[in-house]
Amino acid sequence: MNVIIGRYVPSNSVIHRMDPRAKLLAMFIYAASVFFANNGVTYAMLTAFLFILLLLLRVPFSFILKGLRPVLWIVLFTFLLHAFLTKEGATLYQIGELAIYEGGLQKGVFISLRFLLLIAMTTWLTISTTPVEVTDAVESIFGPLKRFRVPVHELALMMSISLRFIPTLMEETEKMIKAQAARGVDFYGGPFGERIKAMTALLIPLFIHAFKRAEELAIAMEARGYRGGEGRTKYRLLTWGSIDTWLLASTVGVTILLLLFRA
Amino acid sequence: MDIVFEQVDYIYHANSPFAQRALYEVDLAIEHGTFVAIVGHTGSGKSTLLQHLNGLLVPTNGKVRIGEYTLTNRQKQKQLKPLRRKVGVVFQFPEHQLFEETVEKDICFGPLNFGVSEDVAKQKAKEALALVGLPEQLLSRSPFDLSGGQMRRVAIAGILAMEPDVLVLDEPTAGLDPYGRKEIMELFARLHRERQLTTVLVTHHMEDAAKYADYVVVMQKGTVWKTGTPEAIFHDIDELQQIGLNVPETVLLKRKLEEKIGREIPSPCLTNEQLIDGIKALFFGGRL
Ligand SMILES: Nc1ncnc2c1ncn2[C@@H]1O[C@H](COP(=O)(O)OP(=O)(O)OP(=O)(O)O)[C@@H](O)[C@H]1O
Ligand SMILES: [Mg+2]
Repeated sequence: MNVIIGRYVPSNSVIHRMDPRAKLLAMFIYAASVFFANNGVTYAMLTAFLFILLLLLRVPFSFILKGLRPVLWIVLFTFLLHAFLTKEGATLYQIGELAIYEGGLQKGVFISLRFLLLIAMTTWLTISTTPVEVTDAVESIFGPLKRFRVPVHELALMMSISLRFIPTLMEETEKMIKAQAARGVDFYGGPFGERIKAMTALLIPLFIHAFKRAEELAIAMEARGYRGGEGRTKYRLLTWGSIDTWLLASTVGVTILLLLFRA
Repeated sequence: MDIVFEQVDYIYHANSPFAQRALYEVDLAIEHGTFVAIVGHTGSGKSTLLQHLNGLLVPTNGKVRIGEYTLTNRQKQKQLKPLRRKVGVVFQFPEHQLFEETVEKDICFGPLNFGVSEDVAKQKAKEALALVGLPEQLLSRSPFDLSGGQMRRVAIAGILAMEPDVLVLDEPTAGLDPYGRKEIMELFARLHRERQLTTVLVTHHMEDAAKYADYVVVMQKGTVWKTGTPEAIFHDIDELQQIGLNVPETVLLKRKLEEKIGREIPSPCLTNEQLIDGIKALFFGGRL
């Protein structure tokens, strides 16, 4: 598994120790402001800010880059699509029917950069924050909505359970691939019909297991007296420190600067 | 097929922060036709070692030779199918891999993947089901309607139907009732003899290791700690207990008896029968 998007990497960096609410809010604000950037200065500001945040993670930079490699193809594709299909500004290059315009090139760079920034920011959050922390933060941030009968706790629980079982599912998938490969399934090639067959041999047992596990989990929770969020106390308490205020303030600061400098 | 491990290291998720070393410089030789038991504390690398036997994992460093195949870290997954036909692996909890609508189809799945014709596969399925001690009527049932023990047997039948030369078993009796465990182990012992298989068994039951294996390999923290005949391995009780392993009940019983009566019981006493013989020899001079 070399995909690191959505994966927590343990460390003891400043970012790891921050309040997940601060990180979540910072991510939302950042993500929103990415859509307001529209010229070189603003994009440079966003990139620099993110770069600092990523450095503070204290996770090897090469590792982050390697993990992003799978999405680079999508980014590249986005770039080419915009570069060739936007017809604005002066012609830079002409190959037969195809022409690259200055506007196209710029748009291609900006859009793919936007994409990259969004993914990198999400990765920044998930590398430094466990899924449980994210859910706690979501529940806390949206807590006030409980007054309007939004089942915030239940939604957060659903989210944390799904997140909790992603690694388990991945592990089981890996095991199942091995078990079926031992029975001669070829997961790395072969004609279309056989590929379908290989997929069934993989997915059916996985689904059956997931359903069984969900049922067992429900029974186990009920057996231990779980009945929703009413009056429930927390084991992990979220504490907001000055560093969290700093993170949020600097994110807001960058956003304000961005709004000032955008074209 | 002879199996040789030469200085094998295996690292899960190599070159990432999740890197985890599971095997260190493993050297191991398994001669064709032997029954080898691998024992070791949980997490000692037994399953990791097994998965090298049919190329599900390839060594990070070092070499694994299986008959004419040599596996190194440059191995391509595509070329491994012929090896996988010859080395049948029964995983821990193999019943999880069942997926077809009927028991028959599920058992046929392996043989069909390896290019056996449909009729032959069906014939093999019938034979394999009989081997694992299930009635023929089950062939048309859904594997998901069976009991846990029956599902386990069907899964094992699915591997046996491939008619491998090397049978690799990862705790095949975990979670079975004592009677079922004995039945299944007897089946493997019989197949080993009749089909001249090479059998590699991972087990937490020292009794099974003592009773069925020609050689015992003791794993400890990713290395081979010791290999030898069951007699040699289970001789030093304290040493084994130090690395968190047990010895067969009869060996303990023998030691207790010896302490009580203050005399030594000759013979190794790895199984009940051997212990009974030993006691007979001691008290009645072999006259009974
Ligand atoms: N898929 C995996 N990813 C990362 N680490 C793994 C993986 N599988 C096993 N390990 C690690 O490798 C080591 C050896 O594991 P292995 O499964 O080979 O042990 P084992 O001897 O079979 O244990 P058990 O008796 O519990 O089955 C353990 O430390 C384990 O945490
Ligand atoms: Mg194991």
